Amino acid sequence: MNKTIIAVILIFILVVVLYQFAPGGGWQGDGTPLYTIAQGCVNGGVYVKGGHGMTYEIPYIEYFDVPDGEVVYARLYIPVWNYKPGDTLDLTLNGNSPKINSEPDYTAAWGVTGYSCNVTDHIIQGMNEVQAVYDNPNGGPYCIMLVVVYEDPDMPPVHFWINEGNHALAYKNNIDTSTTTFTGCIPGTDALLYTLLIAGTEGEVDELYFDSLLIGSDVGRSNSGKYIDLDVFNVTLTEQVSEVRFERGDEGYLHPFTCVLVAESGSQTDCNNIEIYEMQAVKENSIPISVIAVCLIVIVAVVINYLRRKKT
Amino acid sequence: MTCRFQILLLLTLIFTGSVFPFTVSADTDTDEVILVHMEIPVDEDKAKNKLVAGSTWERATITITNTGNITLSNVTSVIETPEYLTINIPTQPVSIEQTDQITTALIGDLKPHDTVTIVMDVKPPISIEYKKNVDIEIITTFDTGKNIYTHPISIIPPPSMASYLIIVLSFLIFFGIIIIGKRFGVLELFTTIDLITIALIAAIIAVVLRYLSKMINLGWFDGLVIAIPTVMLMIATLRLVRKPGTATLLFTVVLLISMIIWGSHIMWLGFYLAEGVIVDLLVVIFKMDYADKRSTAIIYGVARGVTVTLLFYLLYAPIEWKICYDMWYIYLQVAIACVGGFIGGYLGYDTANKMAGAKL
Repeated sequence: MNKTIIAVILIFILVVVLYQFAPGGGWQGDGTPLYTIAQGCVNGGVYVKGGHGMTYEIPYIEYFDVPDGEVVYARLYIPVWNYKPGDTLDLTLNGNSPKINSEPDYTAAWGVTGYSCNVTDHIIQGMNEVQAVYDNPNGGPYCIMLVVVYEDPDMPPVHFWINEGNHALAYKNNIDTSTTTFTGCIPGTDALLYTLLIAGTEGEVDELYFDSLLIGSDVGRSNSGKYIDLDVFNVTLTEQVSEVRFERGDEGYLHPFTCVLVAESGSQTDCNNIEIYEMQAVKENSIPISVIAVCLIVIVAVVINYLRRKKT
Repeated sequence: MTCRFQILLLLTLIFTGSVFPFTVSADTDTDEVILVHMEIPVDEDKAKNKLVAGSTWERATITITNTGNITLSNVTSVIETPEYLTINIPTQPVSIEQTDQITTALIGDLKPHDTVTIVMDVKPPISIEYKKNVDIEIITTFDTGKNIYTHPISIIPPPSMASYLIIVLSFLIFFGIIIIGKRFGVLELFTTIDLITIALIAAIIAVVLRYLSKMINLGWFDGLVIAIPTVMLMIATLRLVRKPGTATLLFTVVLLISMIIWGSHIMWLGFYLAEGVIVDLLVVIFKMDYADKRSTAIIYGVARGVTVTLLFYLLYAPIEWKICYDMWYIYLQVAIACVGGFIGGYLGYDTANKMAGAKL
């Protein structure tokens, strides 16, 4: 009987030890609400493209036909499924290897994670090839998305905001809403809003609001590929601090990943400034309370049984 | 003498088989030849050339290779897709024009042994009355010739009705089991201690093991991480409770806990019931042997593994996930499940012996 108690205690210790050695395992937290990583104003445009859903292909290849103009800022996003500690992502962009963190930048839920990196020096005008090899046979990239801010003196100025993160909206953590803001907007101007959502399911109705106005319903429906939705909406800025709100609705899981707002510059005719901010990834790990509870109940049951048997 | 003749014949056959393909390809080297190959879906594990209606975009690749020795000029591929399929042409190096169901790839010159890959996304219809076989036709023309390649694709009907059918059937089986249990007084056999034991072990399987399986990374062998201890605990439960229907009750409780903790869908009721029912049936077949012998413990473990693997890959994956796996992958997973069941049964027998002495 002593052996049984020892075995149960060992199982409990094993859970704790595994947790220490496997910081990315299990529920990997609620993730990071979207925040602004870069914003500014350029005479030119913002190219936002991506694809093509979870296909498990190796390597995962995506092409981007970047418009003419000088690339002043470019950011690459690679959301992946089923991240586990030790997994690596090998990234190749036009034959080069851009610097990417060894661990994902944004982790959440059951291994829905995202890598993001600055690839300004690697993007060229015209065709760009991105290859990603994720070394987990049960996982893979959801998509590869590229945001390029390019300058063209002949074009009118545009204001842009690039917001990124990975916020797990799920029944599991009871988070139903995620909000992200864009500061310094000019009310009355028209804009394009790009959103990248992961894990949306068709028929499970979610809602998307811009400045309190409903602009999309069932936006997360795997319309751009398996488990991804890269959409664009025409919006009009009404506030100086505009806001995008994702409502989970009926969705079991929904991960807002990226939000890019590209607005007309109003009466402004010339501008050239970009602000790039520090990454603010939220890393958290905890053993689910249910796992701890079950382990404790089993230990209590075994101890009670042991005491009862000892008494008799 | 006869043996020598057979060996000689065998060697001749092997030699002919090895050399013949090279001989044939050597002949084709002198001609202008286009080799066209299409792959859909691109994932190695998935069943080829099958699309489930109602699913989203599936990536397809078409590779065109010049297998000849001279450069082919003005190579153009016209891809005709049936109306059932929606086509999206993503950004790619090859210049492509698309008009409804006709996609034209302007490849230009293709040097000897060069390959060009055309990428396209294919979306099956939302619904279809019955399984349909359609063809994608790829006509590749060049200055001196033409190649016609036809690629068959099966579109499988939407799973919505099947989903509902499975849920209804699962409930019917579930209530059927309860009625039969009630009729034969089986339910009354379970004592409070039995139910507590089942609940505790079910909680370990549903919560702790599932959590551990998410933390350990063994790639294709991830299934073993949860299969071995699950079978061990199942065998222990059989030995501790020793009542008909124990395994079915155990896995039903596992589902109920999973629904609360992990949000599992009720549709999986049939899946969980099946792994319990198969074991309980075997218990009856083996004359109420509750894994009292190591051999029966192993048989129960393997039977459970095979049942859940086949049920998942042949029924639940296509219906719930809209993914058709390739048969080689299913066989591999069945083999892994058998190994897991064998090890779990073997170790479970010893564990059960020890736990039987510590019965609540």
